Amino acid sequence: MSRIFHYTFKTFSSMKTGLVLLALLALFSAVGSSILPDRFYHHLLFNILIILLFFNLGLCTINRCLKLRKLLGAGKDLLSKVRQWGWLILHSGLMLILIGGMINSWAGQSGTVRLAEGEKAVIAEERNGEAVTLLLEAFEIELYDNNMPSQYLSRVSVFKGDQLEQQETIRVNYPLRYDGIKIYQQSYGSMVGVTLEAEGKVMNTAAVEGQLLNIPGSRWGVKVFKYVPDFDPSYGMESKSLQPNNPKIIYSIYQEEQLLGVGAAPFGERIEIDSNAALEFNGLKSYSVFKVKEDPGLPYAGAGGILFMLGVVLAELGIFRRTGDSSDRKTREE
Amino acid sequence: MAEIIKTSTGLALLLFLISSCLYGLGYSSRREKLLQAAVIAAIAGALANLAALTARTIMTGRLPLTDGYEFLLCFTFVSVLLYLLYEKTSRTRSGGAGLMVITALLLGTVFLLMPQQHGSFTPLMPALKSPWLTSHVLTAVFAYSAFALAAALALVQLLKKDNSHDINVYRAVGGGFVMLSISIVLGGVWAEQAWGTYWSWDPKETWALVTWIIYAIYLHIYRSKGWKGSNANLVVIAGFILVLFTFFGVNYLLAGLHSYG
Repeated sequence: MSRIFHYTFKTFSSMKTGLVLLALLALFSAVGSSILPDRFYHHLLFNILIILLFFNLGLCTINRCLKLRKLLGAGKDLLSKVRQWGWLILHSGLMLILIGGMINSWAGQSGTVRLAEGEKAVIAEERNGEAVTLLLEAFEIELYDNNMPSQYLSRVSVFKGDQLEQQETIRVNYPLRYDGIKIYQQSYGSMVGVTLEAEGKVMNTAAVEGQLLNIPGSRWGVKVFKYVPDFDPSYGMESKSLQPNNPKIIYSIYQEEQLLGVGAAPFGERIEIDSNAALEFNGLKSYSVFKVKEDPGLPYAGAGGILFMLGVVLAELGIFRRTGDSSDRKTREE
Repeated sequence: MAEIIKTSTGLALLLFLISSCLYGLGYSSRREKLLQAAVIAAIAGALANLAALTARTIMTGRLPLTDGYEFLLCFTFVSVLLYLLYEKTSRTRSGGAGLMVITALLLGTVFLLMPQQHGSFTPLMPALKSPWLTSHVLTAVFAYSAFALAAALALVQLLKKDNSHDINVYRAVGGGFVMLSISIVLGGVWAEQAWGTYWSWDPKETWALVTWIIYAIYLHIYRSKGWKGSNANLVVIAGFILVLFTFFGVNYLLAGLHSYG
């Protein structure tokens, strides 16, 4: 029994097994990038492969640690010793990165929050008995001279209960950090105010781009397809610039899910669908979309990344030595 | 400025082609003068390449590291620079023809796939406005260039059926591996800041990982068993094909977060 265990342990902790697992990981990663990547990399079998690699890496590292005295023993020059340490640091760093990833998949949370200017939303239910909320004070797009976006800025406030905790401007690449929560600028859009009329009844509502609104009491539906700040028919559905020189809403009319037509209308223009139904676009509100996440594994992955970089540099130190690598090879063969 | 960039790039392409021909003729005829002329053509090509990069930097007002076009110009320049350094330190000229062909082909893709880019550029999009941009891309440039050198040396060994330069192939792969590892980690740090996740199985990330694994396997086997011969050379060449796929294939075939790269 102990021989079987010993054999299994030896096989599973060998570099050969590790290389086979790495090759499989490369193969499946490549396949996954073209076949439903969203599902492929979350499949149980793919995750089992990564866990097996993690254990192999761990056992290899432990084996190496046990032999450390021999590997660093007398007769070895300083460079060889540094490289041995580099090898250990590199593999330990890789393990930490994987541990960080595993902690995140078990205990991490991530979601998106869409807020119009002036709106607030709860981003964490419980922080010392109080909910944490995020308020979007203002959203702005900074433009270059050629009207291309230079930066997206969301001025936000963070509250714990009713207490204001933090005020900051979130930009792409500069997330907000609050008590283990990170909030990222993810995207933005426009919310269009719409007045719908049918059978003499009037309803005021708002729609995000792409949203389909059913006109109550009728068979009609209107999809607010896109807000175009500088409409020019020769640009199709794209805006000529980001300046509001000729703002229009591109919309489509549906009858029981069948597309009847597409149009572009300015704000305030009444659009008659038939004698009993009409609509009007009457305002625009910017909204900002945030990614909110808590990743308790991030410090481990970060430390792993630093160790990994340090280790790989140390492990490859001296590769340009004229004497070559014979000492290192001997060590490995032992 | 656009004309200077286009002309310098074209001149670099021509000089790299001439250099590769001279290297080839020099190897086959064993005439030292031809090999010396090849080196001069390579240096002149690198200078023309550098002129294109400098003009691009002046035109855009930032380091030329932000799109595929600029990356290719850096890639070819650093590849030739590394080769010349290798030639100087190793006192051998093997791999010159292969490396110059690779750089000429890469510059050729600039004219074939992105001809309008010589004179045009777009300002940095918000995601690229990061202090991590320079270090992430620069380490990737050095990694790709070292792998190009390794592939050129491996190709020569395969064709000549001679493994006397195995140690140099290993050194080039080792240097590239260090740079690729650092580039992947720095990219992860940046992705965490910009997208909120350091790894998202984006095609560029995935194929960079696949490339990293292939070279990791090569290094493990080389260092433990002194792997030599045609199989080792084939793996190094396959690794470089993966590098090219990570650059071209992912940009043109697989949509992802790195679509600007």
